[in-house]
Amino acid sequence: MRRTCLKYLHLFTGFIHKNIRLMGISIGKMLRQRSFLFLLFFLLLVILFLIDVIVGEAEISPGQLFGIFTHTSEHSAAQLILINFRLPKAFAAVMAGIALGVSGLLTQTYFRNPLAGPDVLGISAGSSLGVAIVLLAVGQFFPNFVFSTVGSWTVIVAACIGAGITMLIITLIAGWVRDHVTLLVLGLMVGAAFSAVITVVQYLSNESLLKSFVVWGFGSIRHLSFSHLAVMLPFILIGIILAFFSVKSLNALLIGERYAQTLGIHVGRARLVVFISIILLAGTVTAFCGPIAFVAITVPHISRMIFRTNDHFVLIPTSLMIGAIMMLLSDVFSQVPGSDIALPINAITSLMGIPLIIALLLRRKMG
Amino acid sequence: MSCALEVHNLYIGYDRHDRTFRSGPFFFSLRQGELAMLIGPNGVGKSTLLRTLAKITRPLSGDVVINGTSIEDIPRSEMARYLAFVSTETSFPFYLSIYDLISLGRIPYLNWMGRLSAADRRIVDQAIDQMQIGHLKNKSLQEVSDGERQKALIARALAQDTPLILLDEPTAFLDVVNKYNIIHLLNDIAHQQKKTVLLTTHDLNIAIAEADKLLVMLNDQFLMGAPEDLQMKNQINLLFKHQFLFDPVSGMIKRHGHLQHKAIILPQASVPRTVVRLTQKALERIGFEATDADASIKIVLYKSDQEYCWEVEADAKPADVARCADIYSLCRILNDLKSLH
Repeated sequence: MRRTCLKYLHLFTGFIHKNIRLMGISIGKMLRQRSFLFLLFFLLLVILFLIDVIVGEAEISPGQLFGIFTHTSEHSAAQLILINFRLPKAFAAVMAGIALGVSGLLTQTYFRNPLAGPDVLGISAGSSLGVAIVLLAVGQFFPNFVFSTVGSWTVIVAACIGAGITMLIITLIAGWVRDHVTLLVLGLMVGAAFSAVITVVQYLSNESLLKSFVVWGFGSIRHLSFSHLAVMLPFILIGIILAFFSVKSLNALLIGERYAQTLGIHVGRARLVVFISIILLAGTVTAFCGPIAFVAITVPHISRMIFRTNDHFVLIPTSLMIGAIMMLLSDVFSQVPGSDIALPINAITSLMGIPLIIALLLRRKMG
Repeated sequence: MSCALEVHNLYIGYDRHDRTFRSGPFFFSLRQGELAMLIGPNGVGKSTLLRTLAKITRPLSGDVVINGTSIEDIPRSEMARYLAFVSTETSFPFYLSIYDLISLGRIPYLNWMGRLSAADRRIVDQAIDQMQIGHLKNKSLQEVSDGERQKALIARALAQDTPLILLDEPTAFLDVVNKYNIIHLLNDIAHQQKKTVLLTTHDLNIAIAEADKLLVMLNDQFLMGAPEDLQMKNQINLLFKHQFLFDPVSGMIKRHGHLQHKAIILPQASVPRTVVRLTQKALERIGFEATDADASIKIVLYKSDQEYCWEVEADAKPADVARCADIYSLCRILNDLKSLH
């Protein structure tokens, strides 16, 4: 698949190279240059962000968007919608995309399994269980607890603990079974087991809490306010920083623990840092946005395909960018035009990611 | 000259849930610029010994000394500049290009961001040239053959630029050409660049032909020396638990008590020695010992019209003289005679 894609990319760039010349600079050559591609994707990210802010139930023109920066004294209804609803939603999409993209990349390298992801291995289900327990069990006694700031922190911590426990279980399993597919199947089972426990917890809780939990379970970035984002930010930031400081170890781990060791990497320490980074990123997203499927697993493959490398120094920034792009795109698509209906974002991301994963699987099977 | 690697009273092993293993004590040293090979039966602990030397597995007790310092006292990051390791690992799930794989060898010299400098790239290119895999640079590990992958993995170790290189079965699963190709390259690396190379192998012929120092690891003993020293002392036979015999002259492995019949080969002066030797070898395979004394079966070997000819005369039936045009037919006739006796 990658080769076919590369072939078409080459054909495409070759075509551009031959036919269009921009001020003497060949666009085809530029497309093959990493920094140019990076810039291109950043531009795409900015454009998608603006589109995501504009598109919605209430029409907002680009003029109104820029208006809030110029006329700060008077807020029209549109501007209020922008500030209180659209901007936090777009920022939430970007933050969730960043966290998912990087956590997917790290999970794949951590387990040395290109088809791994926090969702596939049940790590997201583990954090969901953490959230479910807090949301449904604690919420039963203190109904307003989860909507307070302290509640947000508790939910994050519960999600991270859930993710951590699952990661521990999967890490132990990965030490026993060397086979990639078996690990994935076992990961799915662990995830299914957690989902079953969640169902039991749901059954035991009251109706109003249940509804809020079910809505959360669809995966939603629409209910988040800036105060939620402020709680999310430090967790995601720490996760990303830890990932960046692990670049060298991650690259070494690509060829296995033993090789990494003889390359001077303290494997135990390096894996612990990556472990913490994964649970912070995957846990935080699950805590605030619910389980969002197929972003984490697809994004690293897209960045590997486009940037043609396995170097984490390139893959971390590109995965976080492409993750944000995929989330923004899904959010734009989830908005049904001309109505106030917004589809669950989880469904859109799945529909976008699944074809790519199927293509990957088929290529692997066919050799 | 100083020893590149010294092992004192070393006990190796591991204690896992499914099995425990313990072996030792080992005493040996490797010098700079030599190609050493470690040979021994399956499960004797060759890989464990190699992993212990590479500081992947901890020794049970004893000491491994590199350049005068015990590896216990060498930090892992520094160790990576002394010693490179090529393992038997063959699964690489990610699509690494050969160039990217080899440049991972520079990791011990890079800062936290892991960027390659121009000097690093030069060393990577040198390693690629040395292993003669320039044409594979942009291919992925999944696209190349076993032999090419092995060369790439060795190039990665070379890029690490260490005085010591350990390789766990670098010639396993390779065809003859690739096997010798890799061993010759390693030989050059040891001799020309004055590196110390230690590898494990199951290929006795290669070990005897190419090793500067042969280490024979057995369940109860550990022998070492030039391959010829071990051959002289008949110590190679210990590898076979005395089930077979190693013939130091021909380099062949033979069965005990297999030669139950006797035959005498009478070559004419015009027949070259090689042909006589090959005939002798064929006889031994089917259980005939070639004697100088008179035997009941005579094989006259002569040359007529540029073709060799083997004439079998058996005492039992003097009238029967069979003439063969090749060794294959000769063996068929001798096998028939065997059943007559």
